[in-house]
Amino acid sequence: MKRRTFLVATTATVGTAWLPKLAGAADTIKIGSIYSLTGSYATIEDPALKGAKLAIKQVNDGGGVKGQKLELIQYDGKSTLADIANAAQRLVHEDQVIAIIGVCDSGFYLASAPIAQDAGIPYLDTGGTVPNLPEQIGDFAHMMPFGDDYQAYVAAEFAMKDLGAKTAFLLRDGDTDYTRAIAQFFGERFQRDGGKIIEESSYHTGDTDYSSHITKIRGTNPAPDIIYAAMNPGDDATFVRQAREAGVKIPIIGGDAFDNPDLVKNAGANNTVDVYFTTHMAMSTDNPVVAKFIDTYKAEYGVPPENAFAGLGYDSVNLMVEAMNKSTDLSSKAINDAIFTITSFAGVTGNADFSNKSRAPDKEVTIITIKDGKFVPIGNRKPAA
Amino acid sequence: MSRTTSMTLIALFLFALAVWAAEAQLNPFYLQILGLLGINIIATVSLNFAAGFGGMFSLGHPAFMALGGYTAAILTYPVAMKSSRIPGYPDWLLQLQMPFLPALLIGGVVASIAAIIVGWPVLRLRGHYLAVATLGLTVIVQVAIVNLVDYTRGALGLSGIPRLANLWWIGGFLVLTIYVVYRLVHSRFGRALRAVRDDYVAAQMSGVNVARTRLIGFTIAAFFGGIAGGLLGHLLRILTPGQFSFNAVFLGVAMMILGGMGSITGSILGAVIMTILPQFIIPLERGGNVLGIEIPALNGLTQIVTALILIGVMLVRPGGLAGAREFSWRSLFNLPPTGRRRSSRHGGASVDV
Repeated sequence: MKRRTFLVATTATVGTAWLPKLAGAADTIKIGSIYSLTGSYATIEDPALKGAKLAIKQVNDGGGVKGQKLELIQYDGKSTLADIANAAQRLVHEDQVIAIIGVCDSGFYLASAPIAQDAGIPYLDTGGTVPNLPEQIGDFAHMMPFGDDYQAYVAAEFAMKDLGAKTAFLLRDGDTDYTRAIAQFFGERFQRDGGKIIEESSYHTGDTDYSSHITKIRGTNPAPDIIYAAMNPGDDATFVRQAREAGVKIPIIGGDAFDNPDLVKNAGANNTVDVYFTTHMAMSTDNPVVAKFIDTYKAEYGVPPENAFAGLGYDSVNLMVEAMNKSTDLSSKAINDAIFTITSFAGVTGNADFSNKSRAPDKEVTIITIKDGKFVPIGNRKPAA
Repeated sequence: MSRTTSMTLIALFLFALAVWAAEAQLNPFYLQILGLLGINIIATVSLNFAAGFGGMFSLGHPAFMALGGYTAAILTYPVAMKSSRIPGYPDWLLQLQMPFLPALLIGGVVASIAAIIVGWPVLRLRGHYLAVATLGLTVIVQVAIVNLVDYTRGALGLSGIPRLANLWWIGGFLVLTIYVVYRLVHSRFGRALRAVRDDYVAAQMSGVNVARTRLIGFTIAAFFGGIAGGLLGHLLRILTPGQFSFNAVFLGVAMMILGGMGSITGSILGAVIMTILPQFIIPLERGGNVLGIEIPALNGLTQIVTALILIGVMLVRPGGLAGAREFSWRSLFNLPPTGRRRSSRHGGASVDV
């Protein structure tokens, strides 16, 4: 290639001051979404997008909102911070959406939310659970899930009341914010209510050998009543299997990361006896709202919802729709104001109150146990004040 | 003033004009893409200085970017949020909020100091060993950031960094980086550096202090890597350890190799292609209606296309798009080689990796 050609190529690339935009249908309400469909977050954010798309379809089939159809403009976050921030810029400034939903990670949310906040566009976090996310960003930031404090408090109260636990062993992944947070909140509530944390132990994401932690558990005398396992998906199954195979039969309680089909698959149904976890929704059929969601999801995609994030994505769209219906007009500001007036949103991930002062929704936490390899709901609860 | 100097000055003026026009006219989305482009160029040119010109195939560049980025961010972080979000620091640091420029420069210096500490033993290694050792540095820095929660906010990332980096800052440091690297490469030091790269023993026989030359080259590259990190944090307003992972290592190396090791022009070209091209493909990924034709969603299209381009270039031009050549006014306008520098062409890069 001649040097002259370099220059021409460079000028052409840099000088092209336009980027292609796909023509959207006219007169639609544009909602933006950012979910990672490639990279490490695809397993949880892809179901979230499928849930969101299902909700959009249902709303449009039912006539849309205020006579207009919804249009979801989706960008792949690629599990990469810069791509997620770029997607938010593109949605706000290029596509000019009136509201955004997306991401199932608090760091991803913090990277993209200031862009929506500065532009005055409501941005609903689908799955990031750090409790003070909205406070960190501002009044246009909202959360669909409960905060980690809620699920850990409920887990602590469940351990004491239902399982009669007085002592606990804390195992946590020291590498991630989520696991540090739920471990800390669990410990706070457990001790406040008179329980005792006998021993704590930290591991690293992706560890495959938990024998040192299991030896520690077996070495405590008297043995702890329960183990609170603040772990990430994948690690939880390995630990549960190794603990049970080593003869540790103490009840194990986990957070919403346990809510993945690989837990039973990799740990084995025999080893998941007396395992409990807190999560966003139960995929059980006794709640008619949830049953309908699961059936339509199956009909649309041929598989049942992969995990609770499908429900959170579905609820994210429906919450925005409810806000639009309550709002005086379809401006971003009016929709944002309307979100604060929603006091009982009946979503598939539970009833939620968005007038909450703490800004994370006041929402029920679902407790699930595993029986014969199946997730069985125990009940929905809120933490005691 | 020679003709080429005046042309360079005109180009600089046009560049400044373009930055001014962009800041005035473009919306924040385009500004962010252009900002990321500038940062990628700074990072790739500085990486190329160590790897292409110095023969030190370093996979530790993201570590230097992280060190520079976090240092600068901690220095400019609003005092009101410091004690609640990063309480680990001593009081004087918690009460300190610096202007952008000194913070950036200190970030670069911290990255340089790390380069000296690491480079001292590691630069005695060559080839694969150096690559693996510097990759280790990237891992260590990342794990340290994750675990020093009180100093970095851990895996959640340091958010709330003021948005201080605009195209003026990034463009300014871009010009500075290219100028410094260009001048160094064509100085006595640069010739020594390339001599060490091409033949270690011969360079030593000619009186080049091999260890010192390599260490200085590595440290300068780290300095500009640190600056790139500082600019990145103040552009995106967040820094997380995930930004400086293996992916960042591979992206940086891909940009450098695509353009050509041992070519500043190549690094710019590589960064432009890897940063701008995906922005054209991303809208196509989600599918939809293009000119009346329904296309399905094609997730991962961007990654596939960039990978194919990389493979294609490596097949057709194994030395990268620019090889080891540089852009010059003389070759562009077919001017006769005059003046003291007869040609900007120099020997091709060869790295024993």
